[in-house]
Amino acid sequence: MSLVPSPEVIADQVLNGLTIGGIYALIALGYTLVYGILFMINFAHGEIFMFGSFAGFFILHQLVESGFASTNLALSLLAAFLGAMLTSSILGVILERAAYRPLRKAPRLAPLISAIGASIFLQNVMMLLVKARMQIYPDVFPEGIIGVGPVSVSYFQVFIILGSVLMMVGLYLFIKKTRTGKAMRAVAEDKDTAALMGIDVDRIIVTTFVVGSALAAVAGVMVGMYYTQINHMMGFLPGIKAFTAAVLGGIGNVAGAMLGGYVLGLAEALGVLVLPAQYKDVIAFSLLVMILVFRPRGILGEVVSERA
Amino acid sequence: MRKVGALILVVSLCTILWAMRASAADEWGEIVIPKDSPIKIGLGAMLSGSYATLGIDIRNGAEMAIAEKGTLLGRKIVLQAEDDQCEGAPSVAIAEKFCNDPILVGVVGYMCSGGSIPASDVHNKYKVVMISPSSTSLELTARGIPIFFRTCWNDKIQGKAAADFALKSKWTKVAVLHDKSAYGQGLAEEFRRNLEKGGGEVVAFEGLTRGDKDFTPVLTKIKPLNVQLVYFGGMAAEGSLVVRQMRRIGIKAKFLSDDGCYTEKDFIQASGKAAEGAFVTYAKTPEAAAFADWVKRFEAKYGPRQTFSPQAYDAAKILMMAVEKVAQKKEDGGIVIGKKALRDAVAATQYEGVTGTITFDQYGDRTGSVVAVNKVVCDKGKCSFKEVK
Repeated sequence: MSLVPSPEVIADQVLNGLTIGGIYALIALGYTLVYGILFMINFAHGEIFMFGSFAGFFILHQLVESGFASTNLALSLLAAFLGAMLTSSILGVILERAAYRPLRKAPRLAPLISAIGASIFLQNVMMLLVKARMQIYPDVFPEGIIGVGPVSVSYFQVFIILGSVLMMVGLYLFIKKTRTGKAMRAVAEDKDTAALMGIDVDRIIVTTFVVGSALAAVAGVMVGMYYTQINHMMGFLPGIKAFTAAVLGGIGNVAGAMLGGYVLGLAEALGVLVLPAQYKDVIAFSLLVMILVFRPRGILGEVVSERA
Repeated sequence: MRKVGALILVVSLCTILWAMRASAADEWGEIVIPKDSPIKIGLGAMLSGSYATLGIDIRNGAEMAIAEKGTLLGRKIVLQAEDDQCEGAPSVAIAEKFCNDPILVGVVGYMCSGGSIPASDVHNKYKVVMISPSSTSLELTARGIPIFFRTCWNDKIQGKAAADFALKSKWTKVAVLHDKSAYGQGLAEEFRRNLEKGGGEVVAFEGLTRGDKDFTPVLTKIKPLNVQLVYFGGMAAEGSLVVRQMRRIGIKAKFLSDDGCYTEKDFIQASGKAAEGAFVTYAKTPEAAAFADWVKRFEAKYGPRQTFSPQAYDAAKILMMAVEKVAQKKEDGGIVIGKKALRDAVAATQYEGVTGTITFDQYGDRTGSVVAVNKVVCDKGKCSFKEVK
């Protein structure tokens, strides 16, 4: 094997990196949005992602069984994504109500422990619901490869790359252009002043959880369709990876989470070219350590005064 | 006063223990089943998680053997199935628990080589017999552990069968992937050794992580090598993703894997269209009508069989037969089973099982196992394994 990979292989790996990076970015946004407002790491976010994936699975499974999906593919996919987003959003709201709101005034470690507890609880709930074996996503998405010269990209990769970019653009516009988005930014900056300005802080926090959870649900359905196997533990590794991406980009920073996701995805895919494939996770976490050593606040993290 | 009492207690306890030791007829000690107590058989397999389909299949096989047997020496038989997670640490913990259970006579298990290897050390310490229906790693029978037996084949046979098939099919430029487990990596190395001996060339040898879902980076790396065959040593959860993602990124090479992928549910169904034309190695199907008959009975009760249920059925049968052979009735109605005698009875097995005639060699390996290559063949959307003649 030659040591220098050919340009086609590099291009293929970049596409692989962008695909998985888009998924990391979508999950990372949930971490960062919540951190930006509450200064806590929602460690149950991986489980919100997992619930979204299962909701999409059940909807698609039903539609495929009834034969609806074979004639109305686009509609079925839309139903799966919307159903997943709804499920995850409701779960996110319940989680905020039950596990985080009562602890909002507590020391910072308390909500963290509460989040870990919620995470374990949700994993076990799903295990009891679906039994502890893996489920196979129905094959609905047409498989195929688009060849651009020697570089090949599958329909699914195009779908994930475009889909995740679309979601992120949507989020960006939502935060920058709408009244609610403006209120979110205000609450992130200073909760008390925002409240004095007439912003319903509780409502904004709930909105944040809804938005973050919905993005995770989209990632969940994409992962389910792309990798085809889902189980009750599936939220763990992507959750950790996305958390890494969020920290990498600068936690609390929305653009940073997106960038972090892509950087991580690309590093994993390209790193395999020079190192044996089993070092994929080592690459991801070494990158995190390096960034934290040289830029403790992440790539795009601003230097902000300690508020809590 | 209290100290004296304690001293007397200790001394008398020691005397009793010493007396028991002295009276033991078996040099490894005895299992004593009291009057009216049931007899317990342990089972270790992965019952939850990625390879649970395989583990539940194993449990069903053993359960069926026990249900058909009904009672053993007039006692109720209890099958205690524990989830070994296909890993070393839980298997060792279960082994400790099983070996310290006074009414447990032996264990069917453990499922994965990575669990069976460390668990066999624990079993060896307590001299409790274990018969694995599914652990194929070479290392298991190479370490001189007297209480280990298996009703499956070993990877020396399996690796050679796979390499011979590749060479016969003229697939000489090969990429080898494995899951870094004692089983997957050991088998992949055995395959590579045999292939290279036969003149084949292994141009890539890479590990991947169990539980990971994205293998496109490593497959993209392999793609420009234009191999004729991708060999995978590992389990169905990862194997089905490898073959799926291979096709997705446009690798047209053949795919060959092992018994870990011989499962309709977790390999054929999980791989979708990509499964068609894939090859996996598994025991040659016994020609005796008894096997087809057994499959019919099993499937009527538990649904489609997957991989190692026949081997688990035979393992449980062998264990129960050995117990029957060496058990001695005591005057008080209890049953005494010598551990060495039990081990020797298992080692001397001569049994016409559903998977064929079973005898063990001096290392605990099954003699005369033949591994065949199976191809996934699809007909009108229904895919199944067909043995390649």
